[in-house]
Amino acid sequence: MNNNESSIKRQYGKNQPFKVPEGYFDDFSKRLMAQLPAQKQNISVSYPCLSRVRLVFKYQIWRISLIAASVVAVFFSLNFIFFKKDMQPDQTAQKTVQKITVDQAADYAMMDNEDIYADLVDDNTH
Amino acid sequence: MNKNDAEILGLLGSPATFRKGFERLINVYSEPLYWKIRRIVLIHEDADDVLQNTFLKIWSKWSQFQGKSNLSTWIYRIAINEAIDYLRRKKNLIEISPDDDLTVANRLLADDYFDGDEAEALLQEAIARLPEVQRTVFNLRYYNDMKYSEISQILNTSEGSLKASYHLAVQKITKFLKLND
Repeated sequence: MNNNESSIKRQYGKNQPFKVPEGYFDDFSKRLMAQLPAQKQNISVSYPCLSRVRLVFKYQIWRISLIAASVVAVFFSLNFIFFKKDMQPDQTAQKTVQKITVDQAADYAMMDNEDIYADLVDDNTH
Repeated sequence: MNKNDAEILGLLGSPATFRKGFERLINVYSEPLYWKIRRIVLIHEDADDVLQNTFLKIWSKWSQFQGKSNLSTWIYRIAINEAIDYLRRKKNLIEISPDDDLTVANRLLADDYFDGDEAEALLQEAIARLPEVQRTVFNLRYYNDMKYSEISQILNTSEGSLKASYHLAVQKITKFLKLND
């Protein structure tokens, strides 16, 4: 035991400064058993701190993927229409590829991050 | 294996007596688990939540207990992981606030289920300021007199690392107490 530890033990000991409500441990077993099924089954553990935002990752990733795929499809469609209109058969000059960002495509589709997040949170609360 | 654990394992081994065995498990382990959890999370209501979640997890994960460790080691590991995870999710309670009124020590002194004086509240604040592993190691070693070999099995960390963690924890606590004396 080093000097620091000895000093803490001399000053504070191992006193337990915490208390529990009267009858807590007697009551605990009954409370907990009441939550358990009659027979052994898998149960889920909930975390009340996180109950406001419950993320179902697999489903949301699927939804995000679908939205992203739609945006990309719109983007490529726009690009195809745009380039098909402007391309001349005998054109040899370098073409400037107009980059349309995903944000611009999303704006075109009239969706923004807030809409996507609101949609996701709305689903999470059901 | 002690007599209680042998009885509990026997009852839990059969579907017909599983529920009875689980109730016995709660009766034997709820109090020791509670105090280990309470020293980590500090607040009674939080310790109650974590203790319930611990037993619910033990119930649902029972098939994963293969007897490679002692029953108590396995249970304590679940309890401590639940307590640490709870702290991470509820960081606002333990984080140090620049406002003196919201320090851990002041919160404890205002808590109906804290029976200590200002000095003891300050010690608890010093412990609460430690990183999670150091805090856990300190509590298990200092308050429970747990051997490093047992702590090593619970936290799945080498004894050498645990000794270093404990030594650092003691140094930091001593420094904090001197600064706030």
